[in-house]
Amino acid sequence: MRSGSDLPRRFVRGIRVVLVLLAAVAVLQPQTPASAQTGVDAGDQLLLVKVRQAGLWEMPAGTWAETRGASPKVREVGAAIMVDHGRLDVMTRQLAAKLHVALPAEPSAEQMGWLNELQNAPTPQDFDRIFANRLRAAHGQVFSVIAQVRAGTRNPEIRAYATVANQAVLRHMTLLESTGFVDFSALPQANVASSAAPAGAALDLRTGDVLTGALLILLVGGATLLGVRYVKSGRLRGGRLRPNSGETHG
Amino acid sequence: MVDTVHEAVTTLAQQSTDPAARGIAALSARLSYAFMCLTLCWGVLTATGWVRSVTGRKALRSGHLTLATLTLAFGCLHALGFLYLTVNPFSLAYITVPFMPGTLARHTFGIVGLELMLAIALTTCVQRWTSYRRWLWLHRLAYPAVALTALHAFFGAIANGHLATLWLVGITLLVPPVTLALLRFLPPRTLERIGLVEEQVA
Repeated sequence: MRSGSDLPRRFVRGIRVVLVLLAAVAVLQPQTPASAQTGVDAGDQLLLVKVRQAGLWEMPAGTWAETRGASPKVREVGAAIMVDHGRLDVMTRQLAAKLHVALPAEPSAEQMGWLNELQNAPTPQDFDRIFANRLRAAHGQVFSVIAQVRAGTRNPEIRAYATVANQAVLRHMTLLESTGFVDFSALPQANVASSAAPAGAALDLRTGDVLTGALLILLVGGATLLGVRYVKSGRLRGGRLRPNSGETHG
Repeated sequence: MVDTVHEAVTTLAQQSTDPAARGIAALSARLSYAFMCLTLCWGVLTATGWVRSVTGRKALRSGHLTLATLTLAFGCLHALGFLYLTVNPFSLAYITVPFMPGTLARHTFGIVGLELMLAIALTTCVQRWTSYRRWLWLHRLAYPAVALTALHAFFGAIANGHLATLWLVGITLLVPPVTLALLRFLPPRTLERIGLVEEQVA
């Protein structure tokens, strides 16, 4: 039988083991960025960045169309796109701030080229044609990103946001097509993937995760056992094997 | 015409996703899970008397009852919250009848788990009209009920995309009751070897 004085020494040894395990968990646990801690994956971040990026050039393009478009239809569509993108942009920035996702502040070089093309359009009729085709092609690209994220995101806020963005971008494409200037043969052909995202993607655990989980189980389980044993050791010197049967339940 | 388009585009056809109702359902589920784990710990400790020297049996039992009540209250709130969704709300039959056609397995786990716990709680009041051993067997159904509810929580977290953020807390809360429940059913000789009971003195 163990002597009572062995127990505190054993407990201290146990605590040391626990501390070593804790240190191992801290070392093995990969450092995650702030966005990862809020449940946002790479696809979710890409969606916010793409929509923000689209707004950065489509808002000024819409403003110009409202004033410089030759066709009344282009002027209406330009105004509509500008207002809608303004709303979407506010939503994008709010959600990005909440989920700690960094957003671009300027249009990309390619988008700057499209804006220059619009600005340097020789005639208002050319402006209408460039506006409708460039914006329709760009909306098509961002539309597929939104659809993919909407279909597979794990984040409910991103899902709700993608629903709104999906409706807005579809509406813009319809509006742009209603101008009658879109050349559909110039648009990139649909490239539909034959397989959907794997259903068990949420269980794609890394080795580090499994190791951390196993260590955590050992750690918390061991701590529970040690804790109960330690509390128990303060009592029952030469006591009974089990509590009275009348008291046992559960 | 421009004004008409402006008006049209400013009304975004966003379908409500009930963030408030879903938030309350998620919060109550997490609280219920935490209280459920603590209830099981307190139950095992009440039954075995391993920490009785610190608290006393009455205090342990009262703690067990309080935690169980909180578990059931938050569990019921979680289930009933789904009746109030504006988009695809659950019917009362769906959240109460476990094996209805079309019910997801993860929902069935939760419904059976919660209803077992409710049955255990209700039969505590009618203990005097049945034999102690029969009531004890019913009370021990809490172990499979907790296992089913933990499975429900695990699959729910996967389905809602919260597994990455919740698994660490979920495991941390679940390991102590699982450890204590395993210890509870170990043979006396093994418990004696690990120092949780001492040798019987004749």
